[in-house]
Amino acid sequence: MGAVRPSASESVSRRSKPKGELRVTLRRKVIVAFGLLTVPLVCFLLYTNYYSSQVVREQVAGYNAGLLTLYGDQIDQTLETGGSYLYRLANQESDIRSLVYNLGDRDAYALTRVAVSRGLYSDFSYNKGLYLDFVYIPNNRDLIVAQPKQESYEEASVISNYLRDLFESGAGEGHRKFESLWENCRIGDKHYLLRIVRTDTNTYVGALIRLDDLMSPLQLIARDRSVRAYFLDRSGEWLIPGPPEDAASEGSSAVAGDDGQAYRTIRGAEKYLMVDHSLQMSNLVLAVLIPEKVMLQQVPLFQRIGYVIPFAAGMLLLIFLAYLQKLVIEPMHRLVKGMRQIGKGHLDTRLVASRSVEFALIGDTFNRMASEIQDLKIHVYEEEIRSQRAELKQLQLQMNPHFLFNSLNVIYNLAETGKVQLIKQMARHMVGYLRFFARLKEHLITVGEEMENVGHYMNIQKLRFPKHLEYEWVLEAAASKALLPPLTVQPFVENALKHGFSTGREMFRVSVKIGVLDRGDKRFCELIIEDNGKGFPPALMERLEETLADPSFTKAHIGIWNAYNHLKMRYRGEAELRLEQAEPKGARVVIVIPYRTDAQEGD
Amino acid sequence: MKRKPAFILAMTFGLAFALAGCNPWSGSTAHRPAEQSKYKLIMYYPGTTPKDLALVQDAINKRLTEKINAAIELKPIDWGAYNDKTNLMFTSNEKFDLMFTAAYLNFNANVAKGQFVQLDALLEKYGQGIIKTLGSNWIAGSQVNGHSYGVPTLKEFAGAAGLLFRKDLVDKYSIDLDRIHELADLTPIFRKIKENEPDVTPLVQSEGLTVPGLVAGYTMDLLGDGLGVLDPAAGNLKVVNLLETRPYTDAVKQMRNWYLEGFINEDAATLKDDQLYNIVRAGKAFAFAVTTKPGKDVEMSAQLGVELVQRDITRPQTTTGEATGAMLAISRTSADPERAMMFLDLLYTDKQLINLLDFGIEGRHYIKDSNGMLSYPEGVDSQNSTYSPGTAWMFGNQMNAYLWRNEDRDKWAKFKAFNDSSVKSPALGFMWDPTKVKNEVSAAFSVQKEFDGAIRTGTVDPDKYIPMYIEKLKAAGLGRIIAEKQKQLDAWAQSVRAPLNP
Repeated sequence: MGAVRPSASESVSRRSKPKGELRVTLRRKVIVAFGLLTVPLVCFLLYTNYYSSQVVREQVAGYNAGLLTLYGDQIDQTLETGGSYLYRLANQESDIRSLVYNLGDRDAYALTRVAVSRGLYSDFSYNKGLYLDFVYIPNNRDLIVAQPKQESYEEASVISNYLRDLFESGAGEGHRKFESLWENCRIGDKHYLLRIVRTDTNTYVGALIRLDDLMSPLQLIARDRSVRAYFLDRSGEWLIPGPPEDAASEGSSAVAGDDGQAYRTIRGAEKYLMVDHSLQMSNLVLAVLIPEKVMLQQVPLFQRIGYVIPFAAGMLLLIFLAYLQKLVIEPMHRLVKGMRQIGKGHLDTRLVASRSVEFALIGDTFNRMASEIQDLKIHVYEEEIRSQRAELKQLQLQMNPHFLFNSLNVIYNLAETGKVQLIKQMARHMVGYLRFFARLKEHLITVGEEMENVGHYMNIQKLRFPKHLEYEWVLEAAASKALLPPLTVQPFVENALKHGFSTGREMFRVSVKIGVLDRGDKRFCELIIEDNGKGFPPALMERLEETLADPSFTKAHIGIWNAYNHLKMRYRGEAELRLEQAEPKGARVVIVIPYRTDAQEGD
Repeated sequence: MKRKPAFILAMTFGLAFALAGCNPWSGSTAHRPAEQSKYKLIMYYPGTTPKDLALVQDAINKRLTEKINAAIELKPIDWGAYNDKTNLMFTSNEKFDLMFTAAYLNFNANVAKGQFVQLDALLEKYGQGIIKTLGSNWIAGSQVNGHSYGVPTLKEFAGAAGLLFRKDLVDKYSIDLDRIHELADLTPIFRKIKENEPDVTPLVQSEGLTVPGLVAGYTMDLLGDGLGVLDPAAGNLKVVNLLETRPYTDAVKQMRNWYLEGFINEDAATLKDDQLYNIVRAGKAFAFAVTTKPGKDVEMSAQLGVELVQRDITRPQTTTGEATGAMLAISRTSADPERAMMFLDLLYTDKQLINLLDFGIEGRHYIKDSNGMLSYPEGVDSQNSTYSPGTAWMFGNQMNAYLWRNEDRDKWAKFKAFNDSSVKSPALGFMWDPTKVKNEVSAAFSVQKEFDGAIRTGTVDPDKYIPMYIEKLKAAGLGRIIAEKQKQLDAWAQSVRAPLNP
């Protein structure tokens, strides 16, 4: 149904949609731009961080590998010296050789034994790495042990029992595996390296080296650098100082499956870097575990910064957005809101001055433009109203002369037939009707006055067509005081007679109902003009506004056009005009205007 | 502007004082004689550096400043490096004042090289306290050719040969140690142990700690190296071969018997002293031989953690070796030998000073009970004490030192009695200089090493091997060594006896 009221709010809301999108897009664009800037930077920093820790890892591994090689070579040197010392003992020490020859003479043997023991002891001064030397004579199962720093009697007896066992228990072949390399062995709760050399007189010389002694200098160094040093054997068994609590199995398998890598990362309770070195002269592997934490102490700042960078970037983005929000988006939003208000017709909307120069300029310009528009619009309205009012006056004053002719003609005919009573009636209505026009200078009249005029008009018409026309009206008492522009109802009644009335068999009925309507908190006056004629052409009902704009239509229906424009001008969209089809046939015009009375009509 | 005259005045005064060469603020030192200006002594001695050395040194210096206007810097050197380091110090003419020395720390050689200041005059002038405390006997005992080069520490000046027994076994078998007078008295005791305690060796001997070695050492005057000895019982000054003396041969034969009976550990000839102590610690030994002095059993019990009792088997004897067992000498490089002697005198007379040096600061390093006996403060023991250098026997008058609670209250009285009761060797004060027969001595030492251990522990048959031993010694030049020693001894007797017995 065509609505008279101009839907400004609707047009504003339709335009506000792309504006909302623009705002989100602006923010999104900023985020994307910021991301494009920072993400590669953050990625680069993280990568540098990773790269530098990798470099440090390699350097630390390299350094420790160097240390291990250096120290391992030193141990190898010690072992080699020890080994060649044993060979020298076995091949050149005459006292040891003569032991066998003195087996028959107990005393001579005892003296030789003293000499051998003395020789072994005095050799320790240039064999500092050795812990214990011994000579074993299988013939009489004699074991000569030289141990310059004996820890306790128990230690000494555990060691000599172990050594005797090697030669005496089982097939007596236990010593074989110690004859080619320095092999580790466990005696009591201590780990040793043992090497045995057989002499050509079928006796044995041998030496023990304590792993603790080999390890202690390294462990001192290791403790200084917070790393841990270990001895393992080639099969990956932890020797001293015992397996590390958390990384034992991984570490040992790493050693066993030697893959030639410079270092490996081992995961226990924490991450370790493991570097190892195999000894040449023995079956031992020297290993250090460097806690990742300790190692990366050298790049602590890097690391920490690395973790913080994404957060910092995020924070920066937030701050940036907040700043942007305050700086651009908020003034923008205010601007948009202001525009929307203007669009709705609130031309008195003004923007708050912004702090930034650009937006202040925009705001000022906006405000100036808004006030100019407001002024312009007020002028235009006033001009329009003035011109329309002039037009209306003219219209009102233009009373249809045919009506006057017809009426006078009716009076004449009544006079012919001598119906004095009817002539009197006619004349009275004519006087009322003409007087209404004569004093038609107020802008507004009451519904009662309008209806009185319609009554005069209809009674005149009824006298013209006594058998064909009926008029009825209902006026609610509350509505009769309501104000409306003059000639609001009358043109439509006239229109009904002009277009719907035909002098056929049927009685043409026109009814006017005026009531008060409550819509929410507002009261309206509803005027309904109905007939039982031909009704409106459908095209007119659908396109009322367009039709009314058409000048050719306007000329023929000047009354309706007048009423319509009057309503529109006076009530600015608050009034409503509907053309409907009546039941079962005929036309119905519904006019709804705001309910106002004399008291309310202040302006 | 106003202050300028005052400034000029001050300048003028300052200049006046400077020109006059007298500083108005340092007048107080002018009273003291120039030679009494404060001097800092430096003393070297073998030992470890205790944690609180500097603290104790400060306390000592406070005392020394008061007494002799001196300070001291204590410089301990590890035992192993002591000889080398002190030699190096002399070679490089390092300035220092005092050092610890003893017969076994090259005392003779250093005297011969003139490294020590001759002390006779200094002792007379500044060391009256030392002379009074020690008595002329002990001073004479430490002299070289009648002159003092070191001041001996007043401690035990004698030694005896004895045995330490495990107290629990002594009690278990109700052994009366007082009834042991000669080695043969031990045989039934060892037999009893051997029979009843299969895990325990009745007598554990090592290379160094043998009954014959100790018995010979404390019945004979070994005259330094034991190559040519003096038998005090003989009553003359004849140098003889130890292997041909009765105390030695008797003891060795006894050992052989015990060895054959299985009383002695089989590896005795190759056992080291520390290994012997380990055997004792492990409770595998019943008895072992040591040099004794009063309270040796208490000392060794604490050291080895096994309760031991002591029985001496010889009378205490004093030889030059005992008399020169601990001395302090003044270096020829000392800038102020007088002050060094004053300090030495204090070590013998000042009870507070010697105890500071020996035991540290009261309350911090030890506490003293009502009887004047020492113990460690709460939570401190000999292991974690910050000043427990164990050097008390090295310095001054030991009889002024406090006693620890676990020590015999009469320790010093017993020491005095021990010293007084000892047999003084007729050669007390004689010092053997082997330089002329250096090669023979070193050859003889090799022979000694070859036979000593085996013979003294009873490992080999003495009847067969002592003659062989003698033969080899003679081949090494023992005859020439004895002749040289005899010559030196006679010359010494001439120089010393004459003034002593005018």
